Amino acid sequence: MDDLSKSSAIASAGMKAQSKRIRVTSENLANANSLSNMPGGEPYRRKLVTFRNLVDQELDAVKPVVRRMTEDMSPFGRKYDPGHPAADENGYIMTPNVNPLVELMDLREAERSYEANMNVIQVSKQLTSKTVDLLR
Amino acid sequence: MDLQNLGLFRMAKTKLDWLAQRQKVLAQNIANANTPDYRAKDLRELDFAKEIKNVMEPQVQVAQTDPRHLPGTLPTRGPFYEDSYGKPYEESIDGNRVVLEEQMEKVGSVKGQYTLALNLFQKNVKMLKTALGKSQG
Repeated sequence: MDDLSKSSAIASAGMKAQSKRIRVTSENLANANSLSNMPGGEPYRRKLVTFRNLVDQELDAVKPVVRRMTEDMSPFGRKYDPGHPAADENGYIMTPNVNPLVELMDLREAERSYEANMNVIQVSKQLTSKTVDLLR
Repeated sequence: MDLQNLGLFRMAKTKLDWLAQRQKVLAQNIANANTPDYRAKDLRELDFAKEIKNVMEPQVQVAQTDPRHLPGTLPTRGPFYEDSYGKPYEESIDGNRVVLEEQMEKVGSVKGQYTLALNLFQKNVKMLKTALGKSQG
């Protein structure tokens, strides 16, 4: 494989990692209000994605892959709602540890990186086609 | 006739090789824009005088003389020297040193220079054709 198609392949590996991140972020956002329905039960726990490097022998480069997904162990929020089925004896319920603002910013960052990777693929493609045009 | 014997063609080819390899390095940087502890890399500036020297003294590589020999786990260096450069003007909390804007600007400049080298190549071919008296273009 030549360097230009390699760069497209690397960029697509980057896009794959970022899209996984977008998927998890949207899962967090969608579950921002998922509560338990049993007294003292735990609500939705925020999921986290981290990347790590992987040397790809074929591409001869390091590409990002998603590490095993982890859970955010930060404490849950508490809300006073005695009528709720999940309320404990004091009338409090636990709310998910998801901050929609943080998730939105994460989403925006992932989107930006995704677009940058797409741009790299576009440029590599243009350069390859220009090189092929030398044959004309 | 081998076009590589003509200095201009050889220079254009070296430049194209350098730019393609640089594009690969930049793609790697951008793909790893959110990987913790990743440091942005770039190629050394292209120096034609040095390139000529490299042709005379090729890089030393570990030979695989047996099919059971394993290749190294580190990516081999291309013909041009690849390095993570000094101090970035931004480093995120997770130790990542890729500035997307900077990388995109470099991709843009690679594109421009690549087009330039290709056009030079094409013009040279046209010049040869003119000398041969075969073409009017």
